[in-house]
Amino acid sequence: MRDFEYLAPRSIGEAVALLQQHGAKARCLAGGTDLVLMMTDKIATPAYVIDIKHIPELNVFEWDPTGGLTIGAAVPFRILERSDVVQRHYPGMAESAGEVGSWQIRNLATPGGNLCTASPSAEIAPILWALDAQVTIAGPNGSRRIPVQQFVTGVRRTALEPEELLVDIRVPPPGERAGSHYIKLKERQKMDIAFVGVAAAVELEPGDGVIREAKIALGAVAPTPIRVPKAEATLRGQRLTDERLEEAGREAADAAKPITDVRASAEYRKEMVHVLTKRAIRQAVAIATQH
Amino acid sequence: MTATETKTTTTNGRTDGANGVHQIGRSVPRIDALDKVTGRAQYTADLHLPGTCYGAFLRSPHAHARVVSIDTSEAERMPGVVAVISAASIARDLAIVVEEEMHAARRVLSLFPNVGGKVTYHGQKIAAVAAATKELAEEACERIKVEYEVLPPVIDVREAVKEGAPLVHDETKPVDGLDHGPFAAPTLFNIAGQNHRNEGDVDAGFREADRIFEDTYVIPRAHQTYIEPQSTVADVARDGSVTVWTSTQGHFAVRSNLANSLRIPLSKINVIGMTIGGGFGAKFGGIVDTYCVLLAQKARRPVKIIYTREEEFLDAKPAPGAVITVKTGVKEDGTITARQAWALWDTGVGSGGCYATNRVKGVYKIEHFKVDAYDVHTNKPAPGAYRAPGAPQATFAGETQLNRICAAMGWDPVEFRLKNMREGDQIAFKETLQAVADRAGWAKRQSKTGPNEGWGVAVGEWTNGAGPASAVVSVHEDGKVHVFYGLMDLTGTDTAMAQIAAEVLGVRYEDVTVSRGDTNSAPFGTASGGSVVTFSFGNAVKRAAEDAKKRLLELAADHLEVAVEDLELANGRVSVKGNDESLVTVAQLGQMALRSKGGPIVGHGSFASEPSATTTAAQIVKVSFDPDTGQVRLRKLYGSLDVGKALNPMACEGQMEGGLVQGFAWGLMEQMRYAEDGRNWNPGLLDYRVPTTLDFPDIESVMVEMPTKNGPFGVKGIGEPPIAPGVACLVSAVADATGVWINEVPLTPERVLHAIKANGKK
Ligand SMILES: Cc1cc2nc3c(=O)[nH]c(=O)nc-3n(C[C@H](O)[C@H](O)[C@H](O)COP(=O)(O)OP(=O)(O)OC[C@H]3O[C@@H](n4cnc5c(N)ncnc54)[C@H](O)[C@@H]3O)c2cc1C
Repeated sequence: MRDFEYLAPRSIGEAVALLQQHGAKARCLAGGTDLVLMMTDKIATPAYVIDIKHIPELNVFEWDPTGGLTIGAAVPFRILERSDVVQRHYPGMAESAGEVGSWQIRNLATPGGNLCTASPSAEIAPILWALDAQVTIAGPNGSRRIPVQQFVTGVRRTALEPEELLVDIRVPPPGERAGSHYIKLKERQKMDIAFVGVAAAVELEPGDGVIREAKIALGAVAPTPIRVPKAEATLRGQRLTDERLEEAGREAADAAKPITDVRASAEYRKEMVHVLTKRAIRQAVAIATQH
Repeated sequence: MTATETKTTTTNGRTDGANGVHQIGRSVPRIDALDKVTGRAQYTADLHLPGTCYGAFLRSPHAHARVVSIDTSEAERMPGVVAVISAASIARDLAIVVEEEMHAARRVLSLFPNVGGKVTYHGQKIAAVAAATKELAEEACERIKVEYEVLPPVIDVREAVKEGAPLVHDETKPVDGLDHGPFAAPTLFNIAGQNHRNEGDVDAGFREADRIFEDTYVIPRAHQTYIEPQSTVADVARDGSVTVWTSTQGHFAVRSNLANSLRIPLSKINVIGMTIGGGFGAKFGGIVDTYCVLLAQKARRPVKIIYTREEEFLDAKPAPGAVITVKTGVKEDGTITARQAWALWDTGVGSGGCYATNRVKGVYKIEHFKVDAYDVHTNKPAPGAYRAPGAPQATFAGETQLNRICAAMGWDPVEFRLKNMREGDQIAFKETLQAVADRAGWAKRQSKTGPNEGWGVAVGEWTNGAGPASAVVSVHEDGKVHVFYGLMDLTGTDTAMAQIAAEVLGVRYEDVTVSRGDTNSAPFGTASGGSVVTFSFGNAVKRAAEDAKKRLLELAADHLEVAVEDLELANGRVSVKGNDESLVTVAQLGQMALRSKGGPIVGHGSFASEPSATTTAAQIVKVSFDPDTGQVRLRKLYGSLDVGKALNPMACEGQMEGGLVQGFAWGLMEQMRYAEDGRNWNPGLLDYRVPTTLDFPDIESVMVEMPTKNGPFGVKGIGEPPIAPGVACLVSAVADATGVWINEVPLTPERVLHAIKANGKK
């Protein structure tokens, strides 16, 4: 690892000023579980490492029934995974957070860092896509908020400008009868990378089994996480039947554009999208039905 | 989780005097446990000598290429770089130093490829640099300019033996091939070694058979994935004498390797074996130590090299892969009439593997048996040992096929084995299999099997080796005992040795300390591999303790004025038989000895080599699989092992579980992969998957004790055998669950799903 200077700003303003001052020579540090490895492998060689964990706004973890959930960019996965609020209102997010690495990793690693690394297999991405989350970004001209789907622009590319930082992730409140679920396909029980990730979030009409809204997102099968509008349309306004499920699964598989690599073939990944999309929807609906 | 099932009551070689309180057979905690859990244990990486510089390697990015040029000049000029070595620099240095010793010199020269020569695997060392920091050394490596002429690689053994395949080593001569079997051809290429064995007459045996089965099994290379990577620190004194601190299974082996490969007199090398963080057969030296010494010679400063995990995968000594075809003839009554095997072992640029094909025979009565096996060169690093070298691969083929035969002929796999197993003196094949079957409730397994679940059983065999070992046991003035020797403790063997000394000398295990000497101070000891340690060093320590005991008794006889025969040694004291009043403590004797004619109490024990008896590891697994994704999960695991005598049952259990996990992991997920261009495709722990604890259920271990005559207290070497049956056991259980025999491992979800579909099972 190359030598670097460690900086620990106490406010967003200070952090932005440092980013402006050092430009491309600086990198933000959250949990460091990606950045430190990149530095060890010399994929990243920042001269300045800006630790964002001491900025109050980035440590916010707040739930409000009308505003939804705010997850500061420095909040680690383990908080999400164990939060009653997340388990109750966003079960798919609790699943997804609990799938990252190991306890030790999850005590450090953040959803914010996960999004900023923008790996195609990023664990938290599919569920945030399915929940229509937004992100807050701060820069020299103040802050802006964009849908998470616009945040990741390609493999390891984000909408962040060099002098900007991610402040938080905002997840809208779920509807009355909502349920969500996330499934990670992997070879090992834990400490593995997603071969395929599937998230489903549904909302049922009050009092019956008709699906009011369905959102399906896939990870690790395209350069960025993707939503599957076609499958969502197939389910919207319908009751869940085996035929509908099958159709939605097939549509998700069609939308997936996976590659063949050392982990799995493209064909296998596509097929697993089909299988797991069905499972995720079924589970999300089952959870919603309990409300 | 363990119960010791003592099948035999004779405790061979049991010493008297322990008076009921045995120090062997006790599950005492490891003697080094506290040091390890508190981080006090000193590994090679913990060593910081003043003035140390750090070594790094430049490696070939190609699997097969001719080296057109190497230019190290820029790296050499970098400030902070203290030594750069390559084939050219070594040749220059050698020309100055020696002209006479050309034979030895050639070995040094072969450490790096020459200009005009070839690189033969991805990751092969081209040059090495020592610099003030590791980063600087790595940067200097990047500044070395190498031009290559890339050649087509050969990565599959089945291709490599064919005419027209690229030759890995240009000088390898074609050999006569076979006129039978799966790779029949007049000539075979890239052959690195051969093993032909012929017992009886297989053709006659197959004629006697009612059914004949033939299957081909494919198993990839596996890395031992010890936690601590290869690491060495070397320092060279003004007079040229060399000190090496290293992570090794055998510091004497490292010493002789260095002496041979670098033509340094043995007496000028001192090797200090540091605490070792796992080896499993890959730490006998040669991977980094040789280069570290060469750099230190040139740098005139201590040099430290710690491999990265990536380097481990690119350029260490993994277990060879193999393609093994097995043909077996069986009579309707379940008698095996003949067995024949053909094998190609993927030994990369080296050799060593094909002899293990003989293990396809297993522990069964088979009159007619034939093997034709080859080590085959491919563009991959040379292989090394992994726990029980070659046994998991050969057992995968032999035992999986036995299970397929049972499924096809309607035999119960346990009954079929019991029917065919060999019997004999000091062996307990049947008892061991029966013990695990009983523990698992094998006979009633159908009632415990849900949909998409299945059971498998397999048996591995192994006979421990033996080697020269020696030890010194001293009794001190406080009555405490000290064991000193040159043993590298990989698995808790220091603990077992302390127990042996305590047992013989009638003191508590807690009153024994153990220390390991470097190669200058310790008497010679064979390396820790081949399950030799407890068998060989155990004998040496036992003899040394008996020698010390003799002195103790003589001193006591003198003091108590009785004959030696009338004395007994137990609980830290010597007393007159039948007279509890008349006694002297071991501590008092230790003090008296200092003033005695014979001086301090020091016992010596040496051991050369004696044969042991074969042991078996039997394992049973219950698996489940997901028919939509192909994912396989282990649900229940049972292992049994004939340990001869469990000196420390907890340590035995550790060996049983560790080996079992490694075997199953190879079947389930571990594989070194090479891309089309011959490059290593998964050089890291992200994509070379080793299981975590969550991938395994609890393991129930059952020990069987059938003593062997030559082992101390009846001990058999047990480190290796538990890795042998796992792959076969798993594959058979998955076949039981899915109805499909998948003859290639690991059983990745994709492979399993594909196989089920291809067989129309879904
Ligand atoms: C052993 C291990 C297991 C892992 N398992 C998984 C897994 O199962 N699933 C998975 O998806 N990932 C996994 N990862 C990857 C990693 O843990 C995750 O991507 C994690 O979410 C990264 O978060 P972090 O807080 O550690 O980010 P960091 O490493 O601190 O930062 C990551 C990147 O984001 C940038 N960054 C961080 N915060 C900000 C900010 N506020 N504003 C702007 N830029 C920022 C950094 O500069 C850096 O480029 C694993 C990693 C390890 C080492």
